[in-house]
Parts: sequence; structure tokens; C-alpha cells
Amino acid sequence: MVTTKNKWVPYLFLLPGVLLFLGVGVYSVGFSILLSFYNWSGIDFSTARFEGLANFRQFLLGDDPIVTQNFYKALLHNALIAVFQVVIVVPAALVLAFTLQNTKMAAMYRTVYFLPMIASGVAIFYVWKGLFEPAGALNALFQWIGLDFLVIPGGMLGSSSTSLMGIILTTIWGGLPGTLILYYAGLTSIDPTLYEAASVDGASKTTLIRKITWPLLKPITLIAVIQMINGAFQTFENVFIMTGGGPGGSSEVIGTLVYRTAFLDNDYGLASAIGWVSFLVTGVIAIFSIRSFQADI
Amino acid sequence: MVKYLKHILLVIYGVTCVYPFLWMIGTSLKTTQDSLANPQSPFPKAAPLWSNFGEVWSKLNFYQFFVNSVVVSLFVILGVVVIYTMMGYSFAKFRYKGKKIFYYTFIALLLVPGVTTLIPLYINMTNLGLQNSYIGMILPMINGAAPFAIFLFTSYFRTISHELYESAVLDGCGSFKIYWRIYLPLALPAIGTIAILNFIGSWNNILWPMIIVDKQSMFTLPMGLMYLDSSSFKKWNELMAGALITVIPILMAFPFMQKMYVKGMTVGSVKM
Repeated sequence: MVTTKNKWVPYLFLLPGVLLFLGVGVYSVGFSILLSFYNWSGIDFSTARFEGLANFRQFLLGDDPIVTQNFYKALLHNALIAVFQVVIVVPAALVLAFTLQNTKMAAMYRTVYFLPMIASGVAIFYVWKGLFEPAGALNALFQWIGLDFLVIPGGMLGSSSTSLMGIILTTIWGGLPGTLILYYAGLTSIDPTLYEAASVDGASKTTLIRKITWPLLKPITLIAVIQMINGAFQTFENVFIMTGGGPGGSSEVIGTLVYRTAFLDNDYGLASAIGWVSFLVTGVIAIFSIRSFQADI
Repeated sequence: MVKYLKHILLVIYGVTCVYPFLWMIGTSLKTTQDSLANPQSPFPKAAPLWSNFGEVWSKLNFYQFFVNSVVVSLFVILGVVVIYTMMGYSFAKFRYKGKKIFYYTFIALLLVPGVTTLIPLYINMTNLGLQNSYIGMILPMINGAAPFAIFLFTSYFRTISHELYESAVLDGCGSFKIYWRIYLPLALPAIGTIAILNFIGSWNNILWPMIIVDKQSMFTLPMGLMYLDSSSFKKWNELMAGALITVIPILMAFPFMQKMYVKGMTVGSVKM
């Protein structure tokens, strides 16, 4: 680390990024905080009305029962996506990574497994929409293997009791590979002589896992879980494309609720307020993620 | 026996990974009637209908959307790499006042959900007259990429031996020349990781372009897909042909992606 002769030099390197941040970032963040205290339907800000905490009361405390219900339901859906994803992805990725380890053709399998992770985007969400159609591949598959009770006549995304499940399934499909590959990289990076030396010293298999494997997998798990929770609370694209939050709000998440409130109902103030409360809700996770981004500066 | 079970498990998971792609390819080659009558099958009933691609590419303007997507992605990558390697270099190499505040302010941006700032961002960019423009699409995407790029470049520059810097100073290099001629070339692996992550991110981004652009000639590929989906008579074969056109460039980045993803992600895990 050095101190430069001209003390402005380090700041000059920051300049382009800071300018962009001032022009695009700060203004938006500041204005959106301000907006959350106003009632405004867009176009000209002189028509905005300062309303204090009215927006927050509207959706938090039930001043508008429908909006309040929508908000808590959406928040619950975000939480469900996070929980299901973590609970299913972590064990599944661990099992697959252990299975993949020391398997012939591991490289080939790994390449295939990587596909969903990089391709999961708008194009693939349309594919899922097609697969979930009433006469689509999923229903056909369940019928074919005789699991008739899993066949959903209206299509998984088309009925309000299963639409969120469809969203969760596609989230897992896109999210599992990333975690799996991190685990696999972690497992293969362990020096095999470590295990040998420990076994020679009389360590049991559980001790090996507890003392050698797990300490290495723990930080990976933490990162993966934080990423999944963070991602789950920022869910937007797959819901927007596949269900639009429906039917009947059954798959609505905070992201689509804010979008709808702002750009379809033109209630910018309320939308900003909802956005910021959801930001605070994820604040706890946020603190954890900041810790993982600590650089030695 | 256990060996076979292992492979059965791995193959089953592999099939679930690949099947959506098979269905996409198969459906893109079906006739419209076939795609409506047999939506469950990934195989076209008749001979593959390659003309779907021509239809989508020229008649439905996907070549234009493709060009727009390429322009946006390229400039996002370029901007992110140039702007944030400079910041990473500054954070990693110099001692000065306010550094920590700058660093953590930018990292904290990562945690603000995209939709929260969408409204003011839209108002801001519209006031600047940037709706329906490349710049209007590109700038916020660069800014959105800031936290992770800064984090990764800073961490990476910290790992480069400091003696290199000192010997360059002795040779009479200024700090900008050291950045440009020594540190930037050395950071190529980190640049690759960030470039690919941002390529995928900007290529798939729909939320922001959808809001700032409403002129069809400025649509990106994902918006083109939305446009196909919203037409009154939905043709799954054309939608899937468009989806395939959208996914192919990402699949081409695939060989580079694997190693870089692991590398990029584990830089963070070492710290914890």
C-alpha cells in the first residue's frame, strides 16, 4: 500500500465510477426514499402530495386491507421460495457432489450440469412455461409413470394452489448447479493424503468428515445459502414471465407487486415504500452478505 | 451395484438439466399445428421446419433485437471492466482518506433490490432524454454491476505482489502507467470472470430495458420474446426459435464459464 506524492491520484481512479454512481445511483436511491412519503401518480412531481407515513400504514398496518394482504402474501411467497430452495438445494447438491467425486466421466457430467446455471434466463422461463402447460411435458410425464395425482388439469402454473410450486421448481433447477459445482470444486481441492494420514492415525470415517471435509464445505455452504436467500428475495423475472404473479396473486412476490403497483397502478409512492420495507426485511441477510464481501483494503 | 446406482442418479439429474433444451430445440422445428397439438413431445412430427428461424430472424425482426443485445452487452462489459478495474486498483494499492467509506458505500449497493430504485431511475433517465437509447439502457446496468466487480477486482489486485509496483516506480512509471501496463494485463483472469458474468447478466436483463424502451426498433432479445409471447395467437414454435436464438450466444460462452465461475466465487469464500 502506498501514499502517492500527489494526494489526488487515488481519487482520480475512483472518479468515473463515482460520477456514474452520482448520476445514476445516488439520485435514484435518494429520490425513491423521498417518494415513499408521497402520494404521486407520475409525470409531474408538483402534483405529488406529502403524506408522511400514510403509504407505510397502508400496506403494513392494514389501512388498506387489500394492499396489506397482498404485501404479506408476497413476502411470504419470497420467504417460501428461499426456504424451499435452501432446504432442497443444499442436501441435493451435497449428495450429487459426493456422488460425482471419484466418478468416471465426472467432467462430462459436470459440463451437462452447468447448462441450467448459465442459460437460466428469460428464454428458459418461456421453455418452462411450455413444459408446465396443461397438455405439456410435465403432466404427460406424470400420467405416463402412473402418478395421476400429480397431474394438474389446469397446468401447474395455471392453478392457484400450485403456481408457486412451479416457480420454486424452476428456481431450484437454475440454482442447484451453482451450489453443486462449488461443493464439487471444494471436495476435489482437498488433498487426498490428508485423509490417508488421518486414517493411519486411527481417525474414523465420521471424524474424517467432521474434521476435514466439513470445515472446508462450511464457508461454501454459507456463501451458497446467502446467495440463495438474497436471490429469493429479489425474485422477479421468472415470476413475471411465467405467471405474472397469478393466478389470483397466488405466485405474487415483492418484485412483481412493486412493479405492478408502480407501472400498472401508477402509485409510485406506495411502490417505493413497499420496496424499501422489503429492503429492510432483507437487511439481516444483507449484513451477512457484506461480511462475505470484506476485502483487505 | 453401488457404482451403477451412482450413475443412474447422475444420469437422471443430467436428463432434468438437458430436457428443457431438447424441448426448446424440438419445438422450434415443429409446425405451428404440431406445436399446439403435441406440446408434450420434444420431437417434431413432420420433417424439421427450419424456416421457423428465418421467419423469426427476418420477418419478426430478431436480427435487429440481436444487434441491440450485442451492442448493449458489449458496452456494459467494456464499461464495467474499465471503470471498476480502476476503482479496484485504487482501493488495493493506495492509502488515502475516506477509502473505507467509498468501498463499503459501493458494496452496500448490492443489497438494494433492483425494483426499489426502478421508478426514480426511470424518471431520472427520462428527464435526461435517454429513453429508447442505448446509453439509457447501458449506464444503469454498468452501475448495477459495480459492487461485485469492485469487490472482485480489489481482492484480485491485492494478491499481486507489491514489489512489482515498487520496481515499476523505480523505473520511473507513473501510477496510471503502472495500472494500464502492468496491473490490467495481470488481472486478465478476474476480468474474464467479470466479463462473462456481466455478459450473461446484461444479455438476460429484461426489467430495465422493458421500462426504458418502448420503441420496437430498440428491443433487446428478451423483449423480442415477450413481444412474441404477447401476440394474440401464440405460436410456440416461433417463440422457441426465438428462445434458441437468445440462448445460443450464452451457450457459446460456456467453455470459458465453468472455471471462471468457481474461481470468482471462491475468492469470496477464502475471506470468511
